Amino acid sequence: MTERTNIDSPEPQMKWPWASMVLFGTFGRLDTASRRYQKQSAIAIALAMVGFIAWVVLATLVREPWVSWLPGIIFTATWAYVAVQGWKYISSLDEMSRSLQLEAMSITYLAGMPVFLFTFFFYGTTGWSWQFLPLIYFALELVRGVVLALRVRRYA
Amino acid sequence: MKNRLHILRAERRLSQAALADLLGVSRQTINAVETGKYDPSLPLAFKIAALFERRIEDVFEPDVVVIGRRAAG
Repeated sequence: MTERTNIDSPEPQMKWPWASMVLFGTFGRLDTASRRYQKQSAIAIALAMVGFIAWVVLATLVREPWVSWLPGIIFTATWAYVAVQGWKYISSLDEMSRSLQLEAMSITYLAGMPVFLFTFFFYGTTGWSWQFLPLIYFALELVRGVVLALRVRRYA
Repeated sequence: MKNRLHILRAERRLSQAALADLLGVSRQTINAVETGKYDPSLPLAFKIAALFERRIEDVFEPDVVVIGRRAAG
């Protein structure tokens, strides 16, 4: 049923889920798609962690070359799944929310490119290795959440 | 871009949330359009106009209308 309103009564104040935006990069409280994406990602990452722990145990018992491939397969598959779900989530948003998400993503990852290049060209002198890169990726995800919150301030 | 969305919505006695549901967008989008902070896409603008049975120019009005001249020659 359509909700009717009094012309003189003010609309309730516009609230944005700041914590969800900064921590998860989603509009968590506002729609079911955000909550579903957060839940799917959390379950996938939890399963990956369980898989990793199982691999640690397995690696002590089995000394076969294929065992060393497992962590890469587990985490690559997990993040591929999270990425696909993320794209589905963004596609499900309405036009303003989608444009905010894509803006935050483009700003973050364009700014992240120099950081990635820095680690590539300077890892020899700093002693950093390419194993450092996943950590940069996770840091970028947090940056994306902050950028999203900053972009949303225009509409708050 | 200026618009008459708030007036049209009030005439129909619709809340922002109700209008958002009818248009399939978030309440945040309706609020941002009403306050002139967000310019809707052309499909959404047409959808809004159709919902209120108005022409698009009766709902939305550009801040400045610039009519370009055709280059001579």
